[in-house]
Amino acid sequence: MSDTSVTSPPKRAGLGSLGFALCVALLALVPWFTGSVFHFHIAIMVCLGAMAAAGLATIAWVGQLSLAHGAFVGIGAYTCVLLVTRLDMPFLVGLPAAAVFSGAVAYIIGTPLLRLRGVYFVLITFALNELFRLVMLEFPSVSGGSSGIAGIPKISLFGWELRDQSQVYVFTLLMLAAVMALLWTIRRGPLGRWFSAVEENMALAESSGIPTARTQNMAFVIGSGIAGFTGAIMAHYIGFISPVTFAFQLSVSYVIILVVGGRLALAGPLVGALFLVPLPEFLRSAQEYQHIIYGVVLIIVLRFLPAGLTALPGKLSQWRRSGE
Amino acid sequence: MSAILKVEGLGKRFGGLAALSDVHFEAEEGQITGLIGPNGAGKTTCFNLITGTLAASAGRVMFRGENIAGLPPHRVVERGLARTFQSATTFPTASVRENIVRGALLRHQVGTLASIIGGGSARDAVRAAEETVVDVMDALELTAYADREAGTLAYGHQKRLGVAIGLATRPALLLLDEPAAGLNPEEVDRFGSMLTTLQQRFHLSVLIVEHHMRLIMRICDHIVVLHHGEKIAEGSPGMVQKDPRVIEAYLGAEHHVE
Ligand SMILES: Nc1ncnc2c1ncn2[C@@H]1O[C@H](COP(=O)(O)OP(=O)(O)OP(=O)(O)O)[C@@H](O)[C@H]1O
Ligand SMILES: [Mg+2]
Repeated sequence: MSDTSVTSPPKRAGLGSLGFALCVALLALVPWFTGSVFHFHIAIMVCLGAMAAAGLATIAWVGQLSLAHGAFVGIGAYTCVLLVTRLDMPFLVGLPAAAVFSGAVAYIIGTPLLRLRGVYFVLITFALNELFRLVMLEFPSVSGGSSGIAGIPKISLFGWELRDQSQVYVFTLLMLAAVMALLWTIRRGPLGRWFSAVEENMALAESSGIPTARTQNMAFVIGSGIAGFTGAIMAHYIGFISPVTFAFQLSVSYVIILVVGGRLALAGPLVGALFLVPLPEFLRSAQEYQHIIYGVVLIIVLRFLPAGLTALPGKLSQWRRSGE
Repeated sequence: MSAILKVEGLGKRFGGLAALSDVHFEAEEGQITGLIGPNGAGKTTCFNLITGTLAASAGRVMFRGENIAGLPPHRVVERGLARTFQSATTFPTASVRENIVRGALLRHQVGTLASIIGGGSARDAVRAAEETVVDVMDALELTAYADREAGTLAYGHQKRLGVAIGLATRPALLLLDEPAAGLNPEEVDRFGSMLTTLQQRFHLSVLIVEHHMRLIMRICDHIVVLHHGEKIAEGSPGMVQKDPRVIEAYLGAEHHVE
């Protein structure tokens, strides 16, 4: 997975990443082997978790941590659902609209907020997430209030409704692949270079000609746009949304997925979601302990693998070498 | 001869402290100008004001006839005025090559959309930037370290990499803040020769802050001396060296003059 770190791009796309891609492909096929609806459901949730976390990763690449990510998923969900249910728009219009609208909101609030760095940005985004929930509860005619909006129509593509879990899964998988491809392109290109420069040394980046404020805002817009995109798919898959769905617990779980997977690695969100999303689903009886489980995993990973699970192969070979 | 940079009445206060007051000087095109003074004299502050890293409390910075005071740093570099930092001069976890690419991209920009979705123009920009890098690495003798992580380089090499990043932005005027700090006398001499070569090869004007007096006296055409935020002398190396105020400032600060 050496090619997934920012600092050593394309060249070393060696056996490691090939093996990783193969593992992911095999894992992606598991629901078809078992044929279980439950497994398809988990696989869809993994894709959605990875997609949202990939948006959060984009923001992390410029060195910022957003605790309002859940709210942006919510903005996208409500945008799409309202367009589809109230204005009779097709899902395929609502979906990009959700991404664009979430991105636009991020653009407007990002300009003043991104002046704050580190914990101040984290705190203000946390407050914003709460604000989103409270404001939405204030307008039940739009949000459905605390009882939310139920009976959201299923995802439909050019009049073809995705009734089976397996169909939704294929669609979600394709969308995740598209998002990952976009991020891969960004990282290899000039913008990705700017992102990591800003993350590593803001003063030097600015003095090297990089418009650091605009660069951070672009990351925030792209990342939050991806969140909105995820929200639209999520809403139409689950069929129910309410302001509480997008409370700050959702933001926190995305942060944990990202940090556990690897904050700066391209594959980080995917690895984090693969590992964490199924965990509480399988431990059915322990579902109310999801946050405790996540917390424990987070502490263990931060203690032993601060760069996340994606750094594990590198760490292992390092340990092996030092053991010899 | 014409001045590429004119600093006019530049001043900066930090609360009650006047870090820089009413400083005037010029840097001639195609020359190496030295900015010296004991520790805390205000040299780095002066750089920060010129490059927009800090907002000036007073004064103007005329670069090629335009007042650049108040511009954000990335706009200043765009106009052809680059700087290096006294410390934290690199992107530590990126390779040497990647460090320099990040500077070189300034001259190879693409539109917003292309930068997001990629495509031919984005690829061309990165390739063109990478070509610039070859040249810059060669000039600063960093080619052998191209794939090393910047943070793992020796201190002196990191400083040199800082210069390389600045050079990659294709400046007309390069501001260097103690680029030879931490080098042994032999390396300082080598660095001096490298700098004069660079200046010819890249048609640079240079404004340099350094504590290595032998280096300053050897390479500078003109020297400006700061003390307690004020300019106390300027002139040719020979003149400045003999100036009693300069000698006193350095002795008063108990600074060792090599
Ligand atoms: N951001 C800041 N806030 C408050 N005071 C500052 C700040 N930056 C510099 N100073 C003060 O301004 C004065 C000038 O500092 P400056 O860094 O410009 O000196 P210098 O000439 O570069 O010194 P050195 O040779 O040690 O690098 C010092 O007294 C310093 O403490
Ligand atoms: Mg200084």
